[in-house]
Amino acid sequence: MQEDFHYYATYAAAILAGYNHEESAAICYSAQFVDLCTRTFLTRVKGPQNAATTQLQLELMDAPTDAVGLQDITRIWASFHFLPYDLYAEKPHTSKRYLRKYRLICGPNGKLTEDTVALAKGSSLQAAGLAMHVLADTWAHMYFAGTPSLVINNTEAHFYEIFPDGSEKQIRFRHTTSPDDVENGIYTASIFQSSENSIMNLGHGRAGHLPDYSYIRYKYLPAWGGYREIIKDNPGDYYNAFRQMVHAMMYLRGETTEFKTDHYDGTRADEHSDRIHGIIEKRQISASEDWKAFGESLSGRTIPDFSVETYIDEYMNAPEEEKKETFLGRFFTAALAQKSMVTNRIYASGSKLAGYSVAQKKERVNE
Amino acid sequence: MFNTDQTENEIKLLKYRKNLITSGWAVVAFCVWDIAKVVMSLLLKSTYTLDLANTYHTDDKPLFFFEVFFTVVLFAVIIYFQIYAGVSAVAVGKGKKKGVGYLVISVLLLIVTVVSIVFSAASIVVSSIGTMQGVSFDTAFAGIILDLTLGAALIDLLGSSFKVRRLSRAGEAGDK
Repeated sequence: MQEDFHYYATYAAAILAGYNHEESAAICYSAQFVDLCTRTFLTRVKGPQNAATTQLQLELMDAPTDAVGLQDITRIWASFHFLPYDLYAEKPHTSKRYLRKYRLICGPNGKLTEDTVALAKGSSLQAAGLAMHVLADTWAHMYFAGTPSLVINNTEAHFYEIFPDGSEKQIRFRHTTSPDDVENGIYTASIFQSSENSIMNLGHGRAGHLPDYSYIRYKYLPAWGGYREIIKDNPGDYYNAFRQMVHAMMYLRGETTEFKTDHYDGTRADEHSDRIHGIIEKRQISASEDWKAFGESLSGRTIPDFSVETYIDEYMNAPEEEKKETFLGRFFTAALAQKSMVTNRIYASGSKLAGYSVAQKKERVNE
Repeated sequence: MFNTDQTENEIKLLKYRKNLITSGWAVVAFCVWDIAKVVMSLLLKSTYTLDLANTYHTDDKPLFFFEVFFTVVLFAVIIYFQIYAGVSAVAVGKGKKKGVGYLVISVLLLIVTVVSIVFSAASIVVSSIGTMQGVSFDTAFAGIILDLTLGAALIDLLGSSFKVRRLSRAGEAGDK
């Protein structure tokens, strides 16, 4: 997903869940910040490098793809953008090597989604925002894995947009820096690279930005699907993501006692169903303006434009012992906790694709 | 998640169409090998070829050139057949064409490939007992490996073609 949903839609969901304007602003800022907290940024603010929640394209270009490099990439992308659905999934007639990657495929309503929300319970607003980013991405990025893998993440020419009237049109991807031409159905995707661990095969690169556009429905053949077509209904998925965020934040606020996967807020979001569907289904690259207007109509307040500079001074000027209590400090703490939790779970499932888990290894040593 | 309108038949049909496209392009790509093989043979055995030409009596030189011309034409025909078979397979795989002409040609090409393998193997054996000159073991062995690969591509092409035809008919029968 992109700024329109991570920032403005999350704000609207937070308001509906009962947070006030200031709390909602903190949550939605944190949700969007997950897409900007890179090692380059952390170097600039002298923050902990391990708290990186994403990687710039330039950082990815420089990233090594040896075993250790791949673990580093997987730790970040699987923890924050492609949360695995089922770390114990089975697929017959496959090697262990393939199965370990297959189990990293992202999807909503998995055990890790539950754990992500539970981790944010009783924690900071920044943790709540981070959890909402991860939760929302499980809907948009489903069927792709947060590790560079041709055999999981590749797509091919069998890729069709499905229009509301039921007609279909083949999508042809190009490999330029030009923006996507939504009107004519011309989209950009990463170049085919036959190397299994090429960066081009990370996440949904081979499908371009299509998973991040709320209006589009499409069908394609995923590399892992055995020639079975996937139909991706982004409008439906985005609406579920919104309702699930409301449900999750009501739990985080303490208004409900339980967060359950496969459960969605059935009242507060549905009251605005027509307007939300109108925003989601509008054929546009960015729905930021529409979501912003919706959020502001709910709270009666102005949502500040997102800026990565907003909390830098606070963090950099704080004394060392007080940095953790600053906005960015709390975010970094939440990011480290999330990354540690997901890496532990992946390691516990028998996979070293996200590297060794120190806490987990200590438990095994003590056994 | 998965398209529930897609039947098992359609899934298999998609798989074998994709196979057909891949095999088709492989057969076309092997034309490059065929041309390279001939060029390498002429270059490596250039002395042998000239000596061979010189063994012809002056009056029979036109015969020699006719044989060369015939060989070149035959080679060009084989290359054309290979490209035709491969491109046709790709077209059938994409659903743009029907027909069996390319299948007949593919069978002929498979026979030619098998004969080539047999001759290459025989040349290795014969040269090892020192009764034939101008045969390089490395070249012949590499030729066998690549001809085996081409043979595999042709067998896959034929197998996928038959499966596509059978599944297409089953699909049409199901629709009726």
